[in-house]
Order: sequence, then structure tokens, then C-alpha cells
Amino acid sequence: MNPQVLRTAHGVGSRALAWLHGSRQFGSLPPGADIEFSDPDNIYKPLGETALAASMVLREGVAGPGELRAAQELLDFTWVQFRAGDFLFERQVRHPMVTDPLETYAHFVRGGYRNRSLDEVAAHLGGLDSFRAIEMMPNRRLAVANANRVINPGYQCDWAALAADTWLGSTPEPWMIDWMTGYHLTHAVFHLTDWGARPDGLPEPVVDYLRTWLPVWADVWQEVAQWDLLGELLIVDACLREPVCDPQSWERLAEAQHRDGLLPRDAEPVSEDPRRAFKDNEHTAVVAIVAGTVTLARSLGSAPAAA
Amino acid sequence: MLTHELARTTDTATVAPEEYSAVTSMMAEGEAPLSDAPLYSPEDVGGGLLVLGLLLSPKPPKDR
Amino acid sequence: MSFADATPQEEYSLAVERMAVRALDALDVVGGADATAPGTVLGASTAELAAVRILGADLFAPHLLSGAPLHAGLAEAVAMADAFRTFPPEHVNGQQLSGQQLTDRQLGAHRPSDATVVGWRDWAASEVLSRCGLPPLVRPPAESTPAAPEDGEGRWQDWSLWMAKLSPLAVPGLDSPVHESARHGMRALGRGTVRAMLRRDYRTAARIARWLALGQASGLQSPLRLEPLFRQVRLFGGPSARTALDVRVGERLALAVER
Repeated sequence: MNPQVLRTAHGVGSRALAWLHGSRQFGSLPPGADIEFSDPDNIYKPLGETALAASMVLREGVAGPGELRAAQELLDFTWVQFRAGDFLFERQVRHPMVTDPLETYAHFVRGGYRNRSLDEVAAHLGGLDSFRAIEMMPNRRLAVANANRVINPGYQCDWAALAADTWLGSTPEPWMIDWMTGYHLTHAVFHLTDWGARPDGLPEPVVDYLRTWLPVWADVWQEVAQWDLLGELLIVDACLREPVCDPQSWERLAEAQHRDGLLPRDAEPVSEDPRRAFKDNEHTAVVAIVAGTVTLARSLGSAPAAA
Repeated sequence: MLTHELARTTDTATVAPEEYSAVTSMMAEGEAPLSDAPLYSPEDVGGGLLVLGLLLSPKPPKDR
Repeated sequence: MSFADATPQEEYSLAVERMAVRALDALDVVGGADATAPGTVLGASTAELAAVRILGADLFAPHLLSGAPLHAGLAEAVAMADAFRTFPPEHVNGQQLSGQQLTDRQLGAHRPSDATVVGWRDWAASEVLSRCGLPPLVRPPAESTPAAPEDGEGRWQDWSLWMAKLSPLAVPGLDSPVHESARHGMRALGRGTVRAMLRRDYRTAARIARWLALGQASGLQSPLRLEPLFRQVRLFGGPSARTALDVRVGERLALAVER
């Protein structure tokens, strides 16, 4: 990948990180938030996503000192929001069948945090037939498996079977895809490869399939200004051993990004209200940070620190 | 709508410039200028309009 | 003479649709060529001659696909010769193009002009006419045709869109540098087809996919399964007979080799 594109990719990611870091107060859990919440204000999921982004920056270590500091502060902030993991533990105990507490915890483990009770719960649930049989979308099942693998590197499962259950795993007609399936596909890749740390996690036929069709999906959704989805497709590109997408895509993202680092999720006007703008576009910032980080790391050939 | 066409001679002098360019542009016609690519739609999320794919799904209780 | 309120474009669009319906009917008949009754005149009006000119070699798709004999007495051959007289290549080629063409993306240093598109389409029609025993009217364009992009170089989007415009050349019995580039560009053609499908530009998808079908018929591997693809275009692609014609030709070519 040429240096110009790498500079652009890095720039998009680091500006998004600065924006996310600067806006983090909009993502605080309201005081007294308990584990019974239904998350009507969509705070919980973004906190987890913020932890993901921060943990990726720290994992790859290809960022400058200012960015590493910002990532560490973000991770610390979100860990405090979750009361050093106790919030997640209590939620898991109250709702044993939900998978989000462990999925969220995995990002903190990746970033170097541990909560003893959560470790024990993870080990316990991972051994239950019921836990492995919970009804869920195939790409979510992969998310759970990868989270368990991050929390406990000895975790065993049939990755090939989980992959085969996904849309992507079937390598179907590439013209039969919709917006949501695009996201299912990207997530399948994220979890199979542990966000690019394990490129071998993708079955060979899936790699060949992605190498042919990924540039098409990126082109199609970029044309209609779906920046969030384009960013996820670029993460997928960075999870391949060699990128295959048009480097111009990074230029498009850079053009769409605001000066303060906000990357709009699509062509809709961004709200004037900063809290609303944060909620609407936080996910895209996370995507941009992960995309920039993994793209840079793949290019530099740094040995990824697989959990 | 045209209901009839008159027979023509093959005299090229009577073909107007805009008729030539109509032929040219139809021969060189390109792709649709606007994309109709799939975007977010609520139906696509969660397996369709039927919540969780179940015809009858339990209503969450009002009070806990 | 056209009605005062119908533009030539509108008038000719209707005529092309009607001509495409005729070609489709002929394609469906076993043997293809016999569908047009002897004595039929295809080019009875300027609009019909324009339609013949625009369809070009596609007018002969029923014959080329079925192997029916070509001869100067065919209604299609008479009409095509007449159409070339009414709309001579030098007048058609030299025209100012509509604004629509200006939205096409750049193809780098050598963007083939739309005059080149017309030139190749005219060559194909002229080639078929010469197989009918009539004197050739058009030489192949002199400019080199864009080669299929290797993965990582060139732009598959623009190249596949250029190939879409030349879909009437995607028929058995013709060969040219354009056909050569198609043989080397199966992957790029596949990508262009999928892009068009997702943009819901089914017409463009069918036009590009014809090249895939032609390549597959000659033994090359298509990156896409063509039968379900053409079926989707047929079901989702709207009422246009021109699109249906591209689909039908593509389906017939794809059948030539079972995959």
C-alpha cells in the first residue's frame, strides 16, 4: 500500500480518535444506571464500542504517543463507567442468557484489564451446553466465540462450522446482498480473524471470494455515501493478507470527515446538537479508528498481538 | 403515442441533425446515472417484520 | 415524419423497443431465422431504420445464435443496408453527444470516445452484412481498444461499462480486439456485472453479463453463475424488450456450456 494512502488512512483514524476522546462525556452511563436497563438512550453499546476502538489502538501499537494516551484514557474512562467490570458481572448474573457482558469484557481484556468474577463466569458459561446453543444470528455466535477466545486463549470451538453457518461462509451470489447482510459479512470477518490479528481465520474459499467481490461492495456503497459501511468493508480489507480495495476509498472517507474528526455515517445532515451528533455518529468513529489502525498495522507488517 | 408512421424515402438530406444525434446517443448509451443500491431498511433487521421470526411473541410485562 | 411533440429520441426509443420485440420473437422460434415472413419490410420508416441502426448486430442475433444462413435477401439485411444509407456512419459518428455521456467516468489517459463505441458497433453490423454477401461498409476503428484491467491496475468499473456499450458484439461468429480483451477480463466483467446488479441497473448488468456468457461458451470460467443471474434480471429487470433481448442472448450463450 503506497505511503500516501497510509497517511490518509492514519489521518482519518487519528482524527476520529481525537473526536471520540473529546466527546466521551456524551457516552457516560447515567448516574444510578442499573443492570436492568433497556438502554433506551443507547449508551451501553457505544461504551463497549469505544472500548473496542481503544483496545485496538493499544493492541497494535502503531499510533503516536498522543494517540496511545488518548486510547488509554478512553479505555480507562469506559472501565470506570462499568465499575471495573462489576456492572458487567452483575448484568450477566441477572441475565445469564445474554451475551453482551462477555462480548464487552473481551475488549477490556484485550486492553489489559481483568475482573476475576467475570473470568470465572466466562469459564463457567463457556462450558454449558445451553450457552453454546443460545438462538442467535451466526455472526453473533462468532462474536461470542471470539470474545471467549480473547478472554480465555484456551477456548475451543469449531470455527469452521461457525463460519460455514454465515452468509459469507456459503460464498453465495455476490449480487444478492443487502445493507444488513453487508454488516453481517463484515462482522463475520472481524470475529473469525479477531479483528485482523488472525488472517488465517478465514477459510481459503472465503478469502478468494472476498478478494473478488469486496471491491465491488466498497464501490457500490461508497457511491451512495454509506461511510460507516464503507469503513467496515475497509476493515475487512485490512484483515486480508494483502488489501484488495481501491485506495481511493480512503480519500473518500477523508473528504467526508469533518475538521473536528467527526465522520458522518452517511449523507444525512449531521445534527447541530453535539450530544445528538455523538450518538448518531459514534459508531462511525469507532469504525474509522479500527480501520485506520488495522490498515496501518497490516501495512507495517507488525506482528499482531493476538490474545 | 405514435399511431402511424409514414413511409420514407432514403434521401439522407431529409434527416435532421437532432435525428442523427438521437441515434448516436442511443448507440452510446451509458449506465443508469443514479445508483439504487440497497440501504438500511427496518424490515431487514432482526429477520423481518415478524419479531424474532415468531408469529406470536410474548409482550414484555408492564410492571416487574 | 414524426409528430411535432415527440422528440426523435422518444420516437426512436419506441421503435427500438418494437424492433427488439421482433428479435425476441425470432429468437424464440426454433431455427430463429424463419420467424420473419418473406416479403416483410423492416425499415418502412425513418424511425424503424433508426431502430435497426441502433440495434445493429443484435438484429441478427436469432440467426447468429441458431446458425441459420445469412443472405442478402433477408429482411434484416435489406433494412440494415437501408439504415446505413439513411444514417451514414460519418454523420452518426461525428455528432455532438448528449450530456448523458459526460457523466461517464474517466478511463485514465485513453478514454475511448463514444465515437469509438459507435465505430465498433457499426463494424459489427457491417461484418454481419458482409456475411450476408453485401459489401462491407465500415472498417474496425483504428484506435487501440482498452485492455482488460489486471487486478490492482486499471479500473474495472470503466472498462466493464465500456464493454456494456459494446454488448451487440457479444455474439458468436464475431472476433476482434474487443473480443480478445473480453477473454482476458472475465473477473473485471464479473465485478462490473455485480456492481450494476446492486445499483439495480439491470439493463447494464445484462449487457456486461453477455460477455461473460460468450466467454463461458468458449470454455472460459465465469466468476458468476449465469443462469440465476439472467433469471434475476428477467424477473426484476422491468419491461424493456431491449433488456430482455440481452438476457435472452446471454441465456442462450450460457446454455452452450453446462457448468
